[in-house]
Amino acid sequence: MFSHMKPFFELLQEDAKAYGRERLTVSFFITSLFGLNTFSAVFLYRLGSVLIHKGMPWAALAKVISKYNYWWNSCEIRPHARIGPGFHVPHPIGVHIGPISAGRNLIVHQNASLVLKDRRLHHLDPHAFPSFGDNVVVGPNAMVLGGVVIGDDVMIGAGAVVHTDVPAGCRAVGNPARIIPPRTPSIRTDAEGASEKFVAVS
Amino acid sequence: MSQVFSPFKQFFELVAGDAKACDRRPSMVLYMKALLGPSRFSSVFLFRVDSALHDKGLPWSLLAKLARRWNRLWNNFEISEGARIGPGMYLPHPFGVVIGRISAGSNLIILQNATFGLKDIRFDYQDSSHYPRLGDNVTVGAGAAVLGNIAIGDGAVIGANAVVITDVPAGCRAVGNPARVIPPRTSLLCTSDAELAFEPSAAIDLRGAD
Amino acid sequence: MFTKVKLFFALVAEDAKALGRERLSMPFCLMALLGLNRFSAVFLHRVEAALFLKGFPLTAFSRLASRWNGLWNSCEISPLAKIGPGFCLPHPTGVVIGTILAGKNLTVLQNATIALKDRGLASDDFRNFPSFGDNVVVGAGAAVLGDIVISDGAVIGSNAVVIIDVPAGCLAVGNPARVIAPRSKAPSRKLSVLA
Repeated sequence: MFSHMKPFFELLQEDAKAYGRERLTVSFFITSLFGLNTFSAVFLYRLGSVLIHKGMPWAALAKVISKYNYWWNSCEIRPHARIGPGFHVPHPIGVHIGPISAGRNLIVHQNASLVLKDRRLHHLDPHAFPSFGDNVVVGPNAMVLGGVVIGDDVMIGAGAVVHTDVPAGCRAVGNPARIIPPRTPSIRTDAEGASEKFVAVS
Repeated sequence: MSQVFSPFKQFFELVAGDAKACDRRPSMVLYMKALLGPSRFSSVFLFRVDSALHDKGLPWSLLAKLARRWNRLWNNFEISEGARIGPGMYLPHPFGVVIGRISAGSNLIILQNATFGLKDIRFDYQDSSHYPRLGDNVTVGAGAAVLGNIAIGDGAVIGANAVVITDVPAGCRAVGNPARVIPPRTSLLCTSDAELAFEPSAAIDLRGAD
Repeated sequence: MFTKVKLFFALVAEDAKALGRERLSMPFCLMALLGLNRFSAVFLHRVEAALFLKGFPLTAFSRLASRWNGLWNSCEISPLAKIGPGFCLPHPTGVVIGTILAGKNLTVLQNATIALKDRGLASDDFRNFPSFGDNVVVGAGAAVLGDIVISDGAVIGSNAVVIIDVPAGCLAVGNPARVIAPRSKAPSRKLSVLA
């Protein structure tokens, strides 16, 4: 009976691993359901994303779950978003995620917005929202606007405002964001490296 | 901070300092109100409760966890219990503020949507040596991000939406993304039209903007 | 008194239209009062602004509405702010607005701050805060600070830090913000504008 829910549980397991929790337990589920830990934001989003495409009344329940997520965790993650396993939101405060598509291991920090650039476009049109590859990290207070394509292994720095595509492996920092190509393997300590949020040791 | 920081022993001193920073008289009624409802004092008060009780064993650590969750729920304010912040902490609007295991002096003012955290997520988030260290009388502007193992000196002002990843000496301002440090003014006279009066919440000097 | 109530609901109806709701109904207003829908942040602000100076016990209700707004919507708008009809807060999270004067159709996106530049100044004096014209859009994460004038139709980009006047129809982006004249018909460099 639960076989069709197996992919859902696998997804949750990957997310919990990204959160730092190796095993899923019933108590963990219950605390996540009631917003008592920070995994709750991702958990409630996953619940909503499963239900939103199942027609009424499950879609209405998905909307209620989404509202509930907003009240308890102050984060707005649309259930229409398609985000791969390993989704991690360390602090869900102020996170706004539209109906984006993202690969594995997306990490989004607080007050980040992955939203429309032009508000005249429809709020559920996935082409108007960014799409992300695997292993993308979005820093705090960053904005990724519009239908841009963010490649794999990209780091978006704190406070960056990204409105253009970011190729794989690059970093995007600043307002408006400038793209820094992947660096050679060394630890940067000079002033040029100080402009980046993350010290990449590749 | 000169003395050993003990949030449990110094609880009432810290909380009295915070109440004064909010222009409120420290009293038990104020503390009860802080426990019951969202208010600007309640965000700091719940943090003080959490940091005092989190390592005292059950049931106090449960109370500490409850205070932390309550803070996150009511005030949308997330602060690690390992943060060591002196008295006089004031958050006019605690929304969206996320604070890691920083250490800070007295009279810290933090505006909304500010972040104090790690610079690289691969570092251990429980190790306080990777977090910023702030001095006394620091003001952090709205939307600022203060990241990494940096030192912010006494009286420094961090501008709105600044992203600070380098040290800020005492009395200086840090503005922009990435933040550049502006030394303190030597004279009170404005020498150009673009000069602005010293402002803690924005701290932008147009001379630097080309 | 009934004219005042009528005016209040006329204002609220304009705001609801800005959010896409054509007709105002009692259940909708009730849900907004309880924080159960997206309109709640604006509605609670209108309630607190209307009741703030009316003496006890209405001032107490005003304070309650203010706290409720902060709790459910994570949004703090000064009850003394005078904002024209059509005030739209699509995502009220993290919005902090001081005592401002604004015209019609002000749209403020998430995590925006409209506040004092110098925290030593009086927070209930309109002169210390920005003033807005009609049809202004404040982008996500923006900080609009000080006694500046944002004219009609201006757009403030995401994460901008605006401390200078913005003329009518212009764009203000960056940190610190630079003002960009209105676009011509020719395709120009794309700028991060809204969110």
